[in-house]
Amino acid sequence: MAPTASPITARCGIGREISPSSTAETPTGFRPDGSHFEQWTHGQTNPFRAGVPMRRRCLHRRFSLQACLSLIHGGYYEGINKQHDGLGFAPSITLDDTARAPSAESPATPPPSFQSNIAAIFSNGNPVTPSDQSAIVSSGQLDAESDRMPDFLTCDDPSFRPVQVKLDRTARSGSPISTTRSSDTTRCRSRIPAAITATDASGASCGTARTTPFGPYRFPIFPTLTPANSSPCSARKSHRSRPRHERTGRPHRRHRTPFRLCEPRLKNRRHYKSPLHSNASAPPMTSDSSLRSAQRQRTMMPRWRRWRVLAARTDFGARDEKFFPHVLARTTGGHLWRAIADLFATRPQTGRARCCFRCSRARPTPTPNSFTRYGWH
Amino acid sequence: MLARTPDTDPELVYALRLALKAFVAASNLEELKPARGKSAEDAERIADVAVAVAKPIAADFLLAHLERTQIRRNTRGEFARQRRA
Repeated sequence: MAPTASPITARCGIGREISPSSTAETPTGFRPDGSHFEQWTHGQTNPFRAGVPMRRRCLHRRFSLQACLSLIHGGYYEGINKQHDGLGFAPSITLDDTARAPSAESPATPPPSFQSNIAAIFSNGNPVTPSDQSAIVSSGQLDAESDRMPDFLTCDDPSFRPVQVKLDRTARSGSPISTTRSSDTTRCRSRIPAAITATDASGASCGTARTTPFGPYRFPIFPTLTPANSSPCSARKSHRSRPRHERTGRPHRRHRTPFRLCEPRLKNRRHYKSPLHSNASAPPMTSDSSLRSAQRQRTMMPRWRRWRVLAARTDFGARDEKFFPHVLARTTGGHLWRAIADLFATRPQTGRARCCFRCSRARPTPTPNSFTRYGWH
Repeated sequence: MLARTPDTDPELVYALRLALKAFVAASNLEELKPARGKSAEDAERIADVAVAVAKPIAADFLLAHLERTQIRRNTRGEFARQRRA
């Protein structure tokens, strides 16, 4: 038994201890009600969402240009810190370097109107490389085969990791395949989770792909904004006492979050423009007042009493720190959002601050000017 | 079947070794004696998979196989570890 084995008990009463990263599957499928399960392999890394029951086989979702191989029942596969039973490791599933350690998403079931031999569509978000792998599994023959599709979503930003890729089910009937296939030219140049409209071969929109690097995209860390024309205490008190539509005299409307993702605006680089990184082609700078005015008009934010900047850098080099006197966090690529969330959640002073969110555009490659900026007042 | 399987099919070789391991785990020493006496290659294959069976029957078989044959020195250590287990 592995030291970190987890006891799992099915509803039928049969239980066993399964080490992490072992595939549990039943010949007829992993019953969703939890009544039965069967350990299929040992040691395959991150296979829990990779097993797909198909023709009494457990397929693997790490595809390569070769055919999709079957996992051998009871086999010990090489994984992270895994040991075999004495027979040695089972043959590798794939030698594709880009397909290692994918964070698999549930396969999209094609509509019935689609080709009958298409069993499943896979779109693997790959946290190792800023891309994902898409594949189509056809079960028309005795052995299931897969075709490696072009990357559905790629990004030049090294911090972008499509850990979770969801395909919209609103695609037209029979179009998901085209959605996956023809969207390889879609380029996401922002580390912000984006909703990208995919097009089919004819160029018509047929679906939306949403990238959520860390699950559902939201900001649980920012407190409620307070209008700047009143003191924070009085505003908070009045906010508790009377509804907003009574205080402002405006008609009641649904809450609209002020945290709105802004399009990249190069002219907003005034706060961090440095002489060393001056660019002759940079647009002219604007004042803080005009920036706040434009921002308020766009996002209905209140007027700020004061402005502070939190610059969380994803690139490296201590030389640039002097240009960011208010840098509070230095994060690593790929963990930016989680680090920022932890920072805001754990520091009490940041929790009391009135925050707004602004995100500048990150350059495709980590350069000294490539960072994400947060501000609060 | 394991003898007829080419080395170019590692999956089949591994699957057959798994099946042979399950057979050894479910057998007793008397059932393994005929297989051991057929040929040296068969006994070698059984000994190869017996190291993965954590049962006394496998250890006894490996000890007998070790005493009967002159095995490679590196394999002898694996068998000895299985015997201790």
